[in-house]
Amino acid sequence: MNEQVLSRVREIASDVLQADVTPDSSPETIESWDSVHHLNLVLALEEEYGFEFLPEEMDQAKTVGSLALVVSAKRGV
Amino acid sequence: MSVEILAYTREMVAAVREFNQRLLNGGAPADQQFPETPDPGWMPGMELYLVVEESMVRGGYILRRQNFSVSGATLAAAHCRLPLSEGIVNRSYAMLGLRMVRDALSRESRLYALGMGGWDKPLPAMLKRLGWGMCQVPFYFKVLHPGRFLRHIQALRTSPLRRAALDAAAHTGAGWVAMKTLALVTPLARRLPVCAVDLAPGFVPWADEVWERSRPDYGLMAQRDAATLERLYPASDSRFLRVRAAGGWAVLLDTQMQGHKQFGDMRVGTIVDCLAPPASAGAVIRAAAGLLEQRGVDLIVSNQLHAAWGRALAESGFRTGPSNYLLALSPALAEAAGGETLRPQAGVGRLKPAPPLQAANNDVNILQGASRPTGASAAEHFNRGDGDGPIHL
Repeated sequence: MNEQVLSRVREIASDVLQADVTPDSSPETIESWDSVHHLNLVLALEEEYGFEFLPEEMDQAKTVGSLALVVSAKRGV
Repeated sequence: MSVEILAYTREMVAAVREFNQRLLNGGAPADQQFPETPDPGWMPGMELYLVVEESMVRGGYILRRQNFSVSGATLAAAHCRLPLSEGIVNRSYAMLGLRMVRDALSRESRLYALGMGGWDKPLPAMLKRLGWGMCQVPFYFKVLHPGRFLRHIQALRTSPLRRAALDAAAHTGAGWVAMKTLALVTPLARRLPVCAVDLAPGFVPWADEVWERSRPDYGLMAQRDAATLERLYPASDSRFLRVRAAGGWAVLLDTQMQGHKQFGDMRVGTIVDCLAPPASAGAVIRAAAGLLEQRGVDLIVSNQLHAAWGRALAESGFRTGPSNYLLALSPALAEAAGGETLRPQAGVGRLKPAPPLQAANNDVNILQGASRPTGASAAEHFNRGDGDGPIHL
């Protein structure tokens, strides 16, 4: 996975969720990560990178790290 | 986790029951349940979808396809109801809400949601973030029997002291004084004059003429021709009173409540639905409210978005209270209905996001929110006849 992408996804997630996050952070470990914050996070990433997640990609993205993996794969980096 | 969104079939009923039980066990409110039948029969034309992970149900939503009239032209759209996911009790499924809304949009881009329980709930927050046009559908009420109102209105009876004061006011005959003190009545709260009212057994065929004559005057409203009304308010359902008056109609309910969470044991009249050219709204409301007064209800309530119907209610002595009945239009429906002006981002739209309420059922807000209806300017006609219909009344 591209480290720059991971770093930027962590920044965005930290900003949206108002919490310190690691690649392993998930809704189970971050108190504020509810359905509305998940939406805000997905939309923030889509706005940052200029694409929309496909349904199956949203299924895969259960942690900050897996979100970054999906972003990397979509960007081909 | 890999999930699919599938049409609800009879084979999935047991899995839906297990889903509902997990929600209850997880502490979800008892009204947060998905129908345990693929054909709940609430409203015509419903399509139910389930979020399925392997053989487990993790969520679901309902679409109801409808035709709308946009300034007289017909447009297909759908009501999106419920989106309910296991995410409300298990954060592992927090992403399902967005997944369901996007799935619904993929099936019908012109969607609306109605009700939703108030601005502080997750669904309105999500739809607002997704750029849906949103507003409150104003709530109107008129108190006919202050004593019974004060004894039963649960939103005001929130402490022993308050209950004692309201009971004292009710028992001493000081009900009207108390109502005026609480700003819950207007100078127009007098009884309406008795007028001739035609109670119709059904809508065929006369309601078609009302529909055709009225639709060009409304910016956006769901189809209300005779056939649609016969399905929404069937003759077989004796609860509905169908009033014909002044070239229009209204559908009413006269319900003796029992332990209702808001109305206690009051007898509540509801102006559920109505249609006429806007210029006739006042006469229709006077006839409808007058009939409910004659029948002896304690309180009349209505939710109406369109400006003409709001004015008509105000002129018949209704006041507004805080509303947690919200309307959300998807960007495609808002644009089809009125173009950019309906989008909240435009800032000048008719459907601007209203300021969030701090607590819709808080008694202080009820008092502070009670005011004479003013300023409504909506050209969209939405009321309790839309969305789920009058299922809680």
